[in-house]
Amino acid sequence: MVTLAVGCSDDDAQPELPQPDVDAAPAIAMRRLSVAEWDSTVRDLTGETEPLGRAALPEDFRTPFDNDAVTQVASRVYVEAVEGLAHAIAARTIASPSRRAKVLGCEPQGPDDAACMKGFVSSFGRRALRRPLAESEQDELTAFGLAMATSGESFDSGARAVLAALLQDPEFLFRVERGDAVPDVAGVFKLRGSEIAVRLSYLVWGSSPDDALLDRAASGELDSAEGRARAARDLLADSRARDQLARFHAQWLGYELLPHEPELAAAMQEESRALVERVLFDQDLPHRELFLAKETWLTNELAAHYELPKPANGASWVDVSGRGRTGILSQGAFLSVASNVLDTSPTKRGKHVRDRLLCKPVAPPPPDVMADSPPPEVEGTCKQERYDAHRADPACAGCHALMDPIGFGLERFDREGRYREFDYIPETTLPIDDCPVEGSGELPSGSAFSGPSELARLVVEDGSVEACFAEHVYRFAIGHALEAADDAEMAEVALDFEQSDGRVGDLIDAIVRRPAFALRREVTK
Amino acid sequence: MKASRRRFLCGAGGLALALPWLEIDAGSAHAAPGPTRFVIMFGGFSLGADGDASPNLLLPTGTGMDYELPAAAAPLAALRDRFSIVSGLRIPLAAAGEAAPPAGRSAGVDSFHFHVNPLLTGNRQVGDSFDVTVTGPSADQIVADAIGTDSRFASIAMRAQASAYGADRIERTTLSFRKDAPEATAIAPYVSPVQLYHALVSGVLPTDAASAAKALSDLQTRKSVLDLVDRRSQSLRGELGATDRQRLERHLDEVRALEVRLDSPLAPQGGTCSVMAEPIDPEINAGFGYSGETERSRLLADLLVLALSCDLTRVSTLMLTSWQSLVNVEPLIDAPYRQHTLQHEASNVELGRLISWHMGELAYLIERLASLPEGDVTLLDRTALVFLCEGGYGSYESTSEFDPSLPRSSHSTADMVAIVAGGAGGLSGGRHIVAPNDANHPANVLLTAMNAVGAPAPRLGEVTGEIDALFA
Repeated sequence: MVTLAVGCSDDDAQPELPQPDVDAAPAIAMRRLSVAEWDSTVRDLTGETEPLGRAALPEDFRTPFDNDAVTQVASRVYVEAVEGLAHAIAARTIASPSRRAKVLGCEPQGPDDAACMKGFVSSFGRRALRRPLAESEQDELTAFGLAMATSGESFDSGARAVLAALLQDPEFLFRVERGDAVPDVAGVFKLRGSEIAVRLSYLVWGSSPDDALLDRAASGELDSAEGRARAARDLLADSRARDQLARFHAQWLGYELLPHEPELAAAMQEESRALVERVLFDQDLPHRELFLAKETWLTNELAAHYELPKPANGASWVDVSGRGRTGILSQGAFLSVASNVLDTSPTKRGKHVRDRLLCKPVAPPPPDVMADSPPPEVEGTCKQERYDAHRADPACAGCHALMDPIGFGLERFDREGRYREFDYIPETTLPIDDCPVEGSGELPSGSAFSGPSELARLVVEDGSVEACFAEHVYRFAIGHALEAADDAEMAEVALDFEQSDGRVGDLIDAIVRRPAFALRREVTK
Repeated sequence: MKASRRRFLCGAGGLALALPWLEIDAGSAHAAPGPTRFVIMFGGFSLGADGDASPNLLLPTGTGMDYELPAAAAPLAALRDRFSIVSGLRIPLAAAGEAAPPAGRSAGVDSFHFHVNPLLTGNRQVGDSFDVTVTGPSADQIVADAIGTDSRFASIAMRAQASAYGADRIERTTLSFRKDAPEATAIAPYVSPVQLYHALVSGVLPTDAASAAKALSDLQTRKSVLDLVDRRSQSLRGELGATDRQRLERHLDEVRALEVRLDSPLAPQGGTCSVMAEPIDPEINAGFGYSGETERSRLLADLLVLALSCDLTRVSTLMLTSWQSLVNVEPLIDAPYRQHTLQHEASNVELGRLISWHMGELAYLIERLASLPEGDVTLLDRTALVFLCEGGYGSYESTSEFDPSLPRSSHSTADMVAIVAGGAGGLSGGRHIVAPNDANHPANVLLTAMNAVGAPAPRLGEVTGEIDALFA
């Protein structure tokens, strides 16, 4: 494996960047922190416990991830919201003695305590801007803080103003990667240590690097593949990684937003989050086990909703594998995604499985097709008949044959994750006795399945879900849909992951060890 | 009604805003009428559900003064003389395999969801049926350049639908697009009443001296901070590639604009304008699909009235629901649908109720504008307010013609209807006008309203001509 020696090398024998590494450098724009990243970052910097950004910042668009720079448009609304938040956070931080002490790092001896102001500026500034501050920057910010302290007649006035300034700094709001130009290769840059730290922390934590990680960056440790892998392992051991992986799975599998009453949606999301945490962290199992787990986390309310036996003690892990349910695909959250308003949509479910589990997306419908509606109700027909008739039309067959057969394999689970054996009247969910649900489906590979458990087993056994998971994680890491230029690097990552034990940590390891993780290609659009 | 929506007039103990030209106090002498104002509202619905043979839900029977208001517009009944209805509008559709005609849609039934460019800028859809590139400024931004630059905000974009509810493109969630070669840039709308409230009132100083001094000091601090942020960012520019530098510039443009606003607070002067107490944002439930849109719409309308009456802006857009809206309409009309799917899966009974909800929001804004005197007239008399819908209710065919013998479709942009309220520039209400054949694009309605507010233009995108009957 080729490794880069950047910055920390003690000789001039630095190898030139091999062409495959140059080609693999991902094009990454200056990304704005997503709302979730903004909240996590502010929490870690200032001890703020309320997700104030979620309430005040314009929502992110999902593609399906929330960190795609292409969807981030500069706006008055964003800038005003950030300005208001910056002052609010500054005031709340300084008003709390414990948060204030942590942020300042010293106890000022009066409004003109220059040493304390400078200490605060340099230590907090490094955390906020995620890089060491130049001496001239420290001086400018210190002078500003002292001037504001003087006019406000208290050190805290100055500290608040400095905090508010740093929390609006473009280098706080955006992930800026300057890097150092690679000689003779236009538009490709080697990231600096602190910038590699930022890539690591926003991948694994969804938040900014802490002092320890920035120290490792400063020591040059992150310039080597081994150093990055070591740091990533440590980040994964922190509770922030649990939050991040939970958020990632909700976006990847699409259950971050569920079309239910908030209470039911939250209960289902909690069920899935519990499984993600248990399999990936508590049990430290290969990622594929997420799809094969026999137990699920049920509360009384959720068990009643699914018509499953009550859990012990009001909430516990329950083996549901005897009921055709194993793993995350059998949970209400996943089964609620990609439905119509009152009933499932085998077409949408099939499309969703292809997009997210197989990474075999279907092209958008041709221009003359109205793709919004399910086949209309016809008196005396069952749902499957109607879809079959639709698919018999040669104009529709081409695309629907790619999606519907997958979706019909999940038909015995309704749009709220409940088991059923008959079609039902959508408005009332009263079963239609003449329309038993067969519930058998077929994957593009030709393998037949019935129900989410068998679907899960198939996509695990043929390796497709593992590869598609890797693709989505890589996509999240670079912040945009894969382009042709990313394919070779993606293939390398997927191969490394395939040859590993298949744990999330193995995939992170494969990604961060690659030389491309420490490289950036200039974006041109 | 929540206390957060309570309004009060200045002098009644609340925050008093000052402005040079408006006096609301009933006892005061008549002041001169204010400037003209321009507002666009929009609802993401068509005028009939698929296959339903009953009439176009916003098409009146009869024309001229004696028309009969359609049932879906019932909330507007008491305001009949305040608005006119324009029917017979259409956005042309490309024939299969051909490029979009001028100001028209690309070929394909699904270009319906992406005809933002024709409706708001008068330019044709570019690319395929899923392309939502916007190539020109929207009407409101042209008007803002002409009449908005003297007020604190050249324009204000708002949206009552709290979330995109899964939509992945900003272009379908706002009505305002700024010219920005070679394409236009979407202007993110205010969604939070709280945020808009603070943006509006933080620039206006309280009347009592102590509060004003404190407010000035806060403004000065905020300005100093922004000044530092801007100054510190200068060196960063030079270290970025062209694309990232442009992203940074656009961000910093907004930072500097905010700095300028903070630097020029409105000093208390004679006269007063209508103010409301600080609102509370309704909770957002992005998955469930409903986030208090009715309450949010009313709060935004109140804030719009505040902004217009205090001359904080003269131009605004208020999107009630977005393009292909996935708002959960059950709380609005007690029928289990998302707004867009309702048009495909329900009947005109349910869709009529949904349109009525939108008309109720329009009626609320018209009433509020009509309730504020301005000189011898009202704020509404100085306003051109245009309501546009996403679609019409003609037949759909993959040709450039609409065939009345074919079943009608909710993806049609034939038989569209617009509503024009207000009296700016001599606009007059009370009538149903069938658009003439040489001015039957929705952009012709916008052009007419642009002229009415003193921002006449020879064309909006590729569309020329006005609907003179609106001034009759």
